[in-house]
Amino acid sequence: MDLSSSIYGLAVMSMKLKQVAMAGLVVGSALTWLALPASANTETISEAFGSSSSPWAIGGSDFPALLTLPKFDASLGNLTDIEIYLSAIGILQSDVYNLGVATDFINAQATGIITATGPDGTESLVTLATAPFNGSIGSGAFVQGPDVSLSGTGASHVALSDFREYEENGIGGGLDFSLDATLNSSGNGPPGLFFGGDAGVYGALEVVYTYAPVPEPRSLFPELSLLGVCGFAGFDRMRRYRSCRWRSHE
Amino acid sequence: MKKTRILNPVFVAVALAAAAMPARAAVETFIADYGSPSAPMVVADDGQTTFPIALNLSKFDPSLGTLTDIILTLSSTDIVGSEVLNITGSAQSYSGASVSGGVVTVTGPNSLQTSSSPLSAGPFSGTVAPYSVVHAGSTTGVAPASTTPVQPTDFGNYTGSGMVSVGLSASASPAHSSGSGTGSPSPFFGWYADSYGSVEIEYDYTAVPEPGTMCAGLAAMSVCGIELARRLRQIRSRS
Repeated sequence: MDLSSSIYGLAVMSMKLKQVAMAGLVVGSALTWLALPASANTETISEAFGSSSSPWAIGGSDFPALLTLPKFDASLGNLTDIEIYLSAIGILQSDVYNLGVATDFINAQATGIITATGPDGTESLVTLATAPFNGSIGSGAFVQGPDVSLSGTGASHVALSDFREYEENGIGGGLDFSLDATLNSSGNGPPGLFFGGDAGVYGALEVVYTYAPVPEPRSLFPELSLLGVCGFAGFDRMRRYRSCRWRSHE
Repeated sequence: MKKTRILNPVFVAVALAAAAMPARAAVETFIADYGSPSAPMVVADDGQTTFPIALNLSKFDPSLGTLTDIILTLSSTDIVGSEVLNITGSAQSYSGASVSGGVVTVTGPNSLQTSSSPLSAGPFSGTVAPYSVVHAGSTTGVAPASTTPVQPTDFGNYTGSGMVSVGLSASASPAHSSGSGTGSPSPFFGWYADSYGSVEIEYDYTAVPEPGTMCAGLAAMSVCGIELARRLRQIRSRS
């Protein structure tokens, strides 16, 4: 193989690579354009309850509460998913009261259960539980377990059939979530021992709307321009190819 | 003569029956109750208990015969309930008040003892007034009866006139109690145990025949004796 044939081979390969690159560009652009309507956007809204300096007492007057969040603006696109996150931080304490004789107790525990119920009945739940503690207690005595700081998050998905209740649809208004909390107390001991507790919590309710946006005209311009250029180039090549064949016939 | 032959076996039978009388076995039973379904005894409730208690049962009357066995039987029906304590100045509502695994044991003399199977009660809902305790609800279980014999060396304590005292004690093993409610601090959840039942004493003895029965026997024996003597006299006079 001589030098001229090698150079010729490289030139041919370079031409083919250009064609391949061009074809890839065209296909990539087309795919990007086709994929655009399926791109997902999210919108997150949240509402807090209580605060670290002023937590809401479980069993107190703060619960049950109504948390109102804005509905989804349907003009933004089509909803594909709605997730609800309830996050709670609490300080819990287990208490033991003895009306009997001095005795031992085991597994004294306080468990806080915080629930948020959406307009469609979707429930998000957070459970905060102290570790069980054991001890001895005298007659007529009151023993408090340690303050325990706990946090947790509960997540839930809204059923597709209930999406309409979360969309504005020009009616306006908000989403009403019912927030409630209960404190469960338990323990093991002989008659006369009583198990209780107290807890304060705060946190937030968050709704994440996932939707397919309606494409804006300006965002379509680059893709349409590229397709136009590609189409024009293709048309030009086709014309040249036909003129070559016409000349060869002549 | 013919009449005498017929009568003879009757006299013999009566005589044999009279002779067998002292070996007759007899049973006498007395029962004493403790508590009742409407007013059970308190095993443990907020540090209170009505145990130990003493039940009085009639002693065995030795004139009836000779004691062979004394058997004691303890029967108990036990109650386990959930209770709620409110230490705040406001009424509190509660739900899910429950107790599980409560075992009540009643013990008497001579290893007499009943134990309930683990009892559970609840969940119960309701309201508890400020600074008070309320019984939320309960469940009842019948324990298997316990039977024990009294040692013959102790028969003396159970024999004579008057009453014999049978002591009973009761206890409740630890159980799990739980619940939830309004207020801060929340209501407190505990449990209580009650019991009611009875002690039965059974005296087994061999009865001493009554004077009337003895007379009939002796009369029959006498008639037999006279008849025998008359026949002997006849035989002798013939010979």
